Amino acid sequence: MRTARTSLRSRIYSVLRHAILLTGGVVMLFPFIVMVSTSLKPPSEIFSPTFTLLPQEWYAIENFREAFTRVPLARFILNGLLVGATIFLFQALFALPCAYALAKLRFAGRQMTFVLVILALLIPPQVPAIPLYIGMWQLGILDTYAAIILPSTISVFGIFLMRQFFLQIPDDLIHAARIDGLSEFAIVWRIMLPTAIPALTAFAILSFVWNWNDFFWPLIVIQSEHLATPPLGIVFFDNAEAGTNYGPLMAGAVAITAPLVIAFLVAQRRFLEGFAMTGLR
Amino acid sequence: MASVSLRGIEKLFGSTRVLNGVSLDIADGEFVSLVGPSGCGKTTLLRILAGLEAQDAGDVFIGGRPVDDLPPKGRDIAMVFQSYALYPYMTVAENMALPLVMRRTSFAQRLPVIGRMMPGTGRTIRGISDEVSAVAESLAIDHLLARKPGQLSGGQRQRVALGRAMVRRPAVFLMDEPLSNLDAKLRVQARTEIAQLHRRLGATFVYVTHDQAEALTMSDRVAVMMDGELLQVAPPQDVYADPQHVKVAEFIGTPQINLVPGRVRADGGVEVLGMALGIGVSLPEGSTVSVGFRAEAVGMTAEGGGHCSALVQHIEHLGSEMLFHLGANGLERTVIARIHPARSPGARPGDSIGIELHGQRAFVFGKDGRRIPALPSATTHAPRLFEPGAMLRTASA
Ligand SMILES: Nc1ncnc2c1ncn2[C@@H]1O[C@H](COP(=O)(O)OP(=O)(O)OP(=O)(O)O)[C@@H](O)[C@H]1O
Ligand SMILES: [Mg+2]
Repeated sequence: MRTARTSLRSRIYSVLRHAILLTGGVVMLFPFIVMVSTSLKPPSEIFSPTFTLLPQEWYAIENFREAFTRVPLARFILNGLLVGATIFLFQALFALPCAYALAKLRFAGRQMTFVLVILALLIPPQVPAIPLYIGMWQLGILDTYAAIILPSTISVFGIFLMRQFFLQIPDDLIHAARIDGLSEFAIVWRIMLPTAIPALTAFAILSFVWNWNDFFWPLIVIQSEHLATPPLGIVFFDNAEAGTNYGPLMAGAVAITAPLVIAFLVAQRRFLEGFAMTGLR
Repeated sequence: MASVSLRGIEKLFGSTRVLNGVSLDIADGEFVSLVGPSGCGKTTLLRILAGLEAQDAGDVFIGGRPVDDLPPKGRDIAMVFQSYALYPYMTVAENMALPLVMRRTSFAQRLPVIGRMMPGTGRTIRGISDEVSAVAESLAIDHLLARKPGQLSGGQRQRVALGRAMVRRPAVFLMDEPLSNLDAKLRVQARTEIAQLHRRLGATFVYVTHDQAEALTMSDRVAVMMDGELLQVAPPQDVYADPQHVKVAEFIGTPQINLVPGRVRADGGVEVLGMALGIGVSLPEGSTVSVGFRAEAVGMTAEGGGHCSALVQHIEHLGSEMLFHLGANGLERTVIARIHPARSPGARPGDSIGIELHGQRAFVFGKDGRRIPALPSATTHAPRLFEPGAMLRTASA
């Protein structure tokens, strides 16, 4: 009797809980649903007063063709890939040795250095934007790939994340490597890096998504259309169209969002594993 | 092959003193066990010897050469860790080959693609893999070479760790409790194998353990360590039969040694519970001492006989021997007697019996815990103990 009542109760709670979560999920997803739905509709339907999820008349091919021909969308996507991958490679190149030193080496000022890393985490990227811009202007590298890539090559977040992960690697593994004749750099690349692949994957996704979506910095340093990253490219699109033709615009938005969503779905498990291991979840 | 010398090694972690002037000379090819309770500084000492940790004072010599300024790879040592510390994403073969790869190939030859094209790389790599196979075969792990450490059992991992240390043919092997993660049966088997390995390789072994059975069965000499100090370094039979410190006597031997308070008489004779033991020391009258009896130095007689009466509290049957736990009148701790089953007095728990303490086999320790040499005392209240054969009679009485 009692068990029946508690199970009924817990079932009601469970339904309630899911209803709330579901509502939240729908609210979050709604803009994306509208985006996808709009990208499939002809102009007449987009502005019709009644909203339908699916179009009466399928117009997807026209919208996407328009999106890829009106502006060099494929080029934007390639730019995004190039910039994101290069930035991540540099970030890993710097973050791994730094994180190793902070987690496993004993040297004067280690604590202080780590405090500085934490402090740097707190500074929003917009703060150093003006000095960086002036510096790049003086170097004459404004409006190049280097201008987008350079400021992001060192990620304090990456250093922090990898340090947290390295803390859990037993000291004996490093001792064994030293006895086996590995130098400190060899330890980073041959021992720590392969062990850190799950955490590094998680960081790679975060870093890539951040740089793929970053609008602020490319907007400041890039003028040429052919160097634009995807979000900036959408803006070029917008300008070219004077903002009335939403179908192709949304098709472009779908085209630049899709790679990330697909990549996340594919790597979802590794991603969560990586965070579980760094203790950040 | 090489000898190892430690001279006055001190180590502090912050303000806690972990090693307090440790000196030890290990001969070329010797097997020395470092044994002591948890936290006494064994691992720290081994790490200093390996060059993984810097000492605050003192010197380390390997093969007669000071090595204080040499990094671990320059010291011609190999180490087996308690956790084995195998590289998790490398195969067994790669794990074992790494020390050789790092020593025999150049930086350029180790680069992923270019290295393969360098002259001589192929030959060197083949030579290394032949040696790895030979070592793996000698340890009976050659069928595991393609596996990752995660796919191995504890015993197999231990062998791989041993193999990784062996491939390089170091002059000195350092082992930090390599068997403590194995189950009891496997541990006994691995004990024998490591002892055989030592004989076969002829290298110097420094073996850390907190298991006295391991230390006593495998080593040429046992170094007993307590609170960062070496209390005694001696062959296994000596640390058992001739302990120089009360802590050594307590640590070595199962069951634990019986310690009873004693007093020195005017003539230098030692008495326990007011009865003379038949041994003397050169200490002033009235000094208090601690007298240690191994379980086999305690006998049982009929009630009313012996040094004092006692109650049998508990009996352990161990097959080849029996341990009687005896609650003696006037003693705080229970006394344990080791009796051969054939000579068992047939007492049961709850029975009253007499305890016979064999003074000739007792160890006398002073207030500071150091052993005090015992002399036969001039006068004794038990003169019959001096007649040969008398002891046997009382023991079997
Ligand atoms: N890096 C360190 N910082 C501070 N204290 C340490 C450090 N390493 C060891 N200690 C301390 O030094 C003492 C000796 O440690 P050590 O690891 O040498 O003990 P051990 O004899 O190997 O013990 P066990 O048998 O448990 O392995 C311990 O009290 C330990 O807490
Ligand atoms: Mg230890």
